Amino acid sequence: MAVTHSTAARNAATDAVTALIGASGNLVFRITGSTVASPSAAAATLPLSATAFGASSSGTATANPITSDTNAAGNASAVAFATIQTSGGTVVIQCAVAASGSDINMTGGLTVASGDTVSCSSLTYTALSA
Amino acid sequence: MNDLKGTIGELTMTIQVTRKETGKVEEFKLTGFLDADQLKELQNGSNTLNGGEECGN
Repeated sequence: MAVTHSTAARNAATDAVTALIGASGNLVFRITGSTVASPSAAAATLPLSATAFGASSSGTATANPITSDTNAAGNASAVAFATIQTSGGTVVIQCAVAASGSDINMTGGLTVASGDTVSCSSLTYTALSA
Repeated sequence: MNDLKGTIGELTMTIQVTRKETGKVEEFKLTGFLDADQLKELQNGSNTLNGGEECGN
């Protein structure tokens, strides 16, 4: 039996999580094996705005402009996780971004080479779905 | 005991990778669930609705 939350509750949950990011957090793309407690190697690190996300609307918060990583660390392994973390490196949000489940097959997955530029034009976070 | 399960969250993003060697821009739309079971589905490929999606080259 699923639990349904009101819009106010979903906004509150989303805002509570994004508030934990604090100022000058980062969006980091990582290879396989990452956990919240022990993140894996970073392939690219993109600085978030001082205020990372706007206020949640309908349960979803949209990130403010994100700075590109113009000289990515890169890794031969495919990107497997995205983490959103504080400026001190504490992971607040982590999710898998594996390509294997895609309707469009990305053979070998998404890899980032050293020196590539990685940009993020859109980022939303939803703590609880409707 | 009832099986009470909260609805899961998700992160969606659109990223662009500009290749240093070629200057080629690749765009990807990524969706990730924050629920552990959904993560496993993403990782083993059994979830066809979420994961990486290459938008264009």
